[in-house]
Amino acid sequence: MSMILYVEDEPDIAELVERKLIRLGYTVRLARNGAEAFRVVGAESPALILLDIGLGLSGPDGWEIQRLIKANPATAAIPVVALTAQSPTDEDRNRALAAGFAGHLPKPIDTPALKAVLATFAPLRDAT
Amino acid sequence: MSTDPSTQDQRLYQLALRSRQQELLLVLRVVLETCDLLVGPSATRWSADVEKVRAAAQKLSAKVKELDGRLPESPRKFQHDLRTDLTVLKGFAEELAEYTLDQQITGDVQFVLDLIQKSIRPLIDALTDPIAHLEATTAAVERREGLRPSHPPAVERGRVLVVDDNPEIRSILLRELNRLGHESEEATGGEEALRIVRERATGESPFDLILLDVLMPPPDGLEILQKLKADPATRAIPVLMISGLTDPRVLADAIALGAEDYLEKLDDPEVIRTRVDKTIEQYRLRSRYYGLLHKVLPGAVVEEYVRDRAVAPKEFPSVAVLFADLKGFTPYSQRHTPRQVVDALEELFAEWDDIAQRHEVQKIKTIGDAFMGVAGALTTPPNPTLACVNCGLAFLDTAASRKFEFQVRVGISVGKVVAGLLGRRQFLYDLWGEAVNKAARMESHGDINHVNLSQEAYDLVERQFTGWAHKTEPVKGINGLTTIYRLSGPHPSGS
Repeated sequence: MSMILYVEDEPDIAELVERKLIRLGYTVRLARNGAEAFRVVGAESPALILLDIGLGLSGPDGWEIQRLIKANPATAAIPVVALTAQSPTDEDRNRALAAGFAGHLPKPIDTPALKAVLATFAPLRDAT
Repeated sequence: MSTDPSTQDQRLYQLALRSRQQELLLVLRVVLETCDLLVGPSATRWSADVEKVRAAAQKLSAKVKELDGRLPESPRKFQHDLRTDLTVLKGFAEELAEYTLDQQITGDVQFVLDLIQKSIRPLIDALTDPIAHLEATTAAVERREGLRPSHPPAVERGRVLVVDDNPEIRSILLRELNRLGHESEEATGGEEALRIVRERATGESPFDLILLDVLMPPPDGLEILQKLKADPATRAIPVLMISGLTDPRVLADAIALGAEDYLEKLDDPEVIRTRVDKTIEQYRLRSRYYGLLHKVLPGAVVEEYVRDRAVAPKEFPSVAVLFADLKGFTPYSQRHTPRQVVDALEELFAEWDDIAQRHEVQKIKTIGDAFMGVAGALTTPPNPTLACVNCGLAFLDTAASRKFEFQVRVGISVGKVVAGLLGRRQFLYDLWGEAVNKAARMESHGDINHVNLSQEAYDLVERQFTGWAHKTEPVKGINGLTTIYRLSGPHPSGS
């Protein structure tokens, strides 16, 4: 089964992306901050993590969350894709890739771009 | 005023920036008005998502309004915030499009999605591109790169008038416009331009855009611009100034006077295309916005609403109120399909709209199969009561002559009313006051196929019509006994 963890502090956007993922056939866990994200990562093992790197003020930011996930051998293999609400410059993109993010998705999220990321990092097994 | 060129560039840039911000606000307003139409009076299964679209559009508007023509203090944060709202706006609009097959709304949702794709997104990109902001302190850079939409909109053919005293410039521009698929015509000077624009403004093929040379033998471009913007019939038509070596201050003045933007005479075709297409598209958008408002508000208050974003309540000391109701409609609606019922009503009410307009009676609303109008408040016929009576008689004729299976009853009264706009979501321009109650009672207590008047109304038309006190009876909501007059025909002495 393909479960995706989506870390997003903006509830409207979380709802939208969740609906999209469900329609595409995925199971979704939502987390609003680092603490919730670590709880999910510890208990289940998501096939992919979509992580908003512009998270609000409470707790660790997206970069820190990603660093902690990569630092833990039990979770280091899970691909993490960065989401950002800014039009990414090459510098941003390089910084994200250098930090170990598997990919980068700008908002507003285009469905084709999202599908491409899913197909790459969390392909669905033989949906019938 | 300083003549320092960098100050002039700054001023032009400020004007251009403000005009982009206002363009975005205008598009967002169209989205908000469309949301108002999508959320009917009753909750539907898509209401929650429409609310999300509305909330996102409102947030965006608030942020852009706050700038008020200035640059954001922190462009990065501004961009993040705007794009977050844009994500929500676009996302929920797509949701609506995805799961609603309901034809009632797909057209409107598609319209909103097109706006997002063609206008809102490029405008937000233009307003929040940090590189553009860094470099955009000079008008030149702003012109050529910063604020050009990344996806130039494909615009329907427009009708363009080119006004220039120089035949070569005219022919270059005409050829360019024709190549872009627009229909174009020319005028060799200011007077001729004014005449053609005015002639056509009221006809079937008004112009969508005027390209106007600044420097011409008098009357020059600025003078013509002022005249066009002062005339209600031509005010809305967008104008792009054509400039040669014009002083930037003159162009700034032109923009302040209401010109949309300007073209340099020998600008490259790409610049001409982008600016012409954008201006025409914006004009169409604005026309659609007005169209939506005219659907829900009486024409006379649309201007006020657009100007102030509100309509102040007003008291009118003496206006005539008319109610017209269809009798026998319920049985009709039980024998026919809903489509037939709606078609029949639509046809009748369309005809009533025309009749009301001819008699200077302003329709306020239709309530099911009833029509409510007023004379003397938003319109000023010499005798409002007489206007309502003539309008009411014409309503009776429509039912009699067109073999409708239902009949009409009209009630009229006159007196003081208060008028105002209710509702932030669903507009309803409405009237309140004793004259309204009484006109409604005259109708409900009156006779079918007749115009029924209160004492006050009858007193004002007795020189033109004969009638009699048909009934005197207690009427709900009015103390004592009330006399209802029934018109029998024109006064023999005629007037």
